[in-house]
Amino acid sequence: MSRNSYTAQQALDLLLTKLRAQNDLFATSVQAAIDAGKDVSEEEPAIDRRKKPRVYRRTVRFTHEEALQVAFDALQAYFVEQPLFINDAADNFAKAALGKPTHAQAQWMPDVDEREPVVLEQQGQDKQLEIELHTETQVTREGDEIFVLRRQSRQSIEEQRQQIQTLRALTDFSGE
Amino acid sequence: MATLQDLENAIDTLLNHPLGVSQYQLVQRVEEKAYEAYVFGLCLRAVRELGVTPILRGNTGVPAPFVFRGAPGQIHSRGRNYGYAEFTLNGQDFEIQAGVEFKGTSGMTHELDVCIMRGSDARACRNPQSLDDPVSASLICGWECKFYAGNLDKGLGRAFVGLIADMGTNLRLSGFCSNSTHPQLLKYFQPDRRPHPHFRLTPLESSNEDIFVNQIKGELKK
Repeated sequence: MSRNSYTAQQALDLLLTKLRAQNDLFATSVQAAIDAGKDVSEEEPAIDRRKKPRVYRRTVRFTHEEALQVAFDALQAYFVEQPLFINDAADNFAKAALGKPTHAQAQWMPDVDEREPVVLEQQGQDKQLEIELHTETQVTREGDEIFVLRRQSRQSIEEQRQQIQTLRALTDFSGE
Repeated sequence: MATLQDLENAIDTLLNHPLGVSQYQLVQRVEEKAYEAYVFGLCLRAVRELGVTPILRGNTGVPAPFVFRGAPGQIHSRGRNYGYAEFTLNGQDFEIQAGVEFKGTSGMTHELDVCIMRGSDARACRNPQSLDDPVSASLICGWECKFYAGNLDKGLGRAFVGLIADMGTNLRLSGFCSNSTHPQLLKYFQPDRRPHPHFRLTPLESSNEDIFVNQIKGELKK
């Protein structure tokens, strides 16, 4: 008895169509991950039965079921892992301290053997983390200069993790 | 029995969530750098677990905000207040840097996504009287960080092996970190002196994070 009233191919087509309608670039990158295929070991029986069968690598395309899982892995990388990277970084930076020089920066002559004396501040507090978008050597400057890494709520991340689990269950065709 | 409509509804819920396609549009520009920030954070954790408080510093002042380079850059650059972390362990000073270029043994410069280097060498390179790129002998640990939503590209692994080969023999620990994996690269990294494969290094796999952190702790304790 089938658990779903649709095939894996229909499910994959629907997912990619929906994704393409929202963001073509994203859909293309997911499609590329699928189209990369996978390596399998093929076995060729030896003509001489006393010899071992020959085993060789062959790159094959994913089945529609497997392609769905590859697509969900790609979605999970952005919808679950990326926010977790930012939250995890924020947690570890929060536990570090900011070093504030104990004197005016201009008065300090950098010394190879000695670290600049600092007072520790804000240990245990969130730090603002930024990624430079306009690099030093970039000639054309337009748009944002920097990107601020913002924490996401654990609940939101968990909702997306659960939703991907739901989709994996809805596209499980094993036992049919 | 699940219907196509059930599936469509589930897909819509996923894609239209605030952390759905809009999240992709937001982070796509910085996906690789966000991953580097995460790996940098794991280095901070390793230092902390050795009983030392890492101190966040900036090239031109207090790093508030803490700025990650958007492209490979020089350690002494004052274009922005680029951040780094310093710490002292067993009487030796170290710095954790991100996106800094080093002079390889061939003289060619190479960027390391995240690294731990000798503090005295970093300070020497920032000294206004001797601004320079750090030499590869300054390096203690270095990592390549790759965020991938699909299978990793084999060429990335080959390129990093080449980079490490030009970094001399002082480099104690090197690794190739990714949230993704590649079965062939896993084998490629097995020989001695090749970078450690840290595949599936993600908060979703806490045991892989522990392996990464413990490896750093082991090297720094030596």
